[in-house]
Amino acid sequence: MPDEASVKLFVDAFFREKWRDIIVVLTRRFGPQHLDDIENAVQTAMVRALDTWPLAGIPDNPGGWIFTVAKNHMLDRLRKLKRAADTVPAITDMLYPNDNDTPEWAGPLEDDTLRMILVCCHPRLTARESIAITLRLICGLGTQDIAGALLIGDDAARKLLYRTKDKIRRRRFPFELPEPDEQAARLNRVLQIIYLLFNEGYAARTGDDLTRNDLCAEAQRLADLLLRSQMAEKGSVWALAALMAFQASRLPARVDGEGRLLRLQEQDRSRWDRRQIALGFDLLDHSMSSSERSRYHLEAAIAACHAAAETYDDTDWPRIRGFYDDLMALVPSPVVELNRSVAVMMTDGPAAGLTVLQTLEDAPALKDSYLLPALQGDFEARAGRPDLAERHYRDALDKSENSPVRAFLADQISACSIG
Amino acid sequence: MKNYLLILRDHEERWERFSPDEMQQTIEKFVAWNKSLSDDGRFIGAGKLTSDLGTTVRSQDGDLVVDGPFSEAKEAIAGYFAIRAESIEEAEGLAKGCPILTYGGSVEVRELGHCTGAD
Repeated sequence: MPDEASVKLFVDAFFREKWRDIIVVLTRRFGPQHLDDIENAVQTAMVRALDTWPLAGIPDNPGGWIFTVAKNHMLDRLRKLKRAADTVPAITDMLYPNDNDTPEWAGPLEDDTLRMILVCCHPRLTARESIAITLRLICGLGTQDIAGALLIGDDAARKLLYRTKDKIRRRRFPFELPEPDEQAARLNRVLQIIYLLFNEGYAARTGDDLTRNDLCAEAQRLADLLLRSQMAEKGSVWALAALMAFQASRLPARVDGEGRLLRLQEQDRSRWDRRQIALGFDLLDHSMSSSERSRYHLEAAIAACHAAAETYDDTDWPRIRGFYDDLMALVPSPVVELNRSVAVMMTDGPAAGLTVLQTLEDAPALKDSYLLPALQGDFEARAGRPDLAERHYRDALDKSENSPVRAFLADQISACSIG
Repeated sequence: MKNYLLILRDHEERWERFSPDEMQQTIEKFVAWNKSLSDDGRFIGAGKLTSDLGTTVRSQDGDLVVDGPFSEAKEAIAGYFAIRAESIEEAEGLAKGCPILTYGGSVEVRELGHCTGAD
């Protein structure tokens, strides 16, 4: 067998980038109401490439080849639609583009990609719909991968995607940049979706792996796309990218050789990805160039404190505590408070940490999360009360469905009864 | 050395759920296989049989009827590779490297006999 890696005809992710670019160009041309047909056209063109190139050879301009086939497929489809509804002038306009269009319909893609992301992360879509359609149209993931990302079946994912495209069509989401006064809100939604996607990868809720690094990489790619658009002037985009880089730097160290979960204090910091950390500091620097201070600025600053600490004992907890206090003031939520409790515990001791956690016991957002009882267990153990710690850890074990997390909790429970 | 024809069959809808990444990987696998055949001096040629154009002409009770191009509706001939090999066994061995097999397709190996008009 030949070494498959030795035959590299395309740059990495060539198809994926062509996929996104052609979807963006066709959507600019025909509008988001035709997304389903557009996606079909690009998929058909790529299937034809797959069907033809291995046997007939690769064309000189593979990207142009796929684009032409997709465009023609789309035009054919529109001609059929026109025949079905001959009175629709809009379709006629599409079929006979005006002279301003260059033959390739080429133009700077960055802002059209941004328009496309804004359609996918429209506030009238649910977070789930947005994540699914973004992964499909912008990231070029297959239905199966999307099903895996959202922890649903293939059929459910297919239906979700279809429903989302249908919603975009019926509600006539425009393919344009929002008015300046609306821009911040729309961008925030995009950042929120990217962050949700990253978190989905960073802390897989179920399954056998603690992290899903592929999803983290997709989220980082999306942020990168935003940084190449006019949204790059917003500091929050840089801050989110910085935050994700710092968090991603720890991915290789979060589990040991057996897939067991390692906490910050147990991680081998030499395994932290130095390139991601350097990238994180660069991005964080950039994010400070505007006066804006978003939640992502504060979260990135906290992550930077951890990245900067050579050992766990070097961690600057008072500084982290200060950032968490600011974060709680800016975007108060039980999840922020939960994280702040660790900084409180590190600066003021377990009793202070437990007091913070106590205020969260009735928070609906944390009702099903293993994190609250797991932290209570940890703080109680540090306070020298293994019996109480064990009870909390057992509660946490009941609430987790992720294998590495469960194994970690079981270890803590046996440590309690030995101690 | 003799000449052999490898007939590649697959299901048409097979690729339709592939993601762009999977498509790229598949094409690269085929190109790698093709290159290994060429490097060993085994490769003669390859071609695509377009799946939607074609008919079968057969005789039925004295009448000629025209049918679709496929003997089996599900598995269509995707294309062919013509290769050189010492024996049918060796040709089979080479056919086993065809990436279509990893996607559930099949490869039929046929020896090419003497063909009039051919050199």
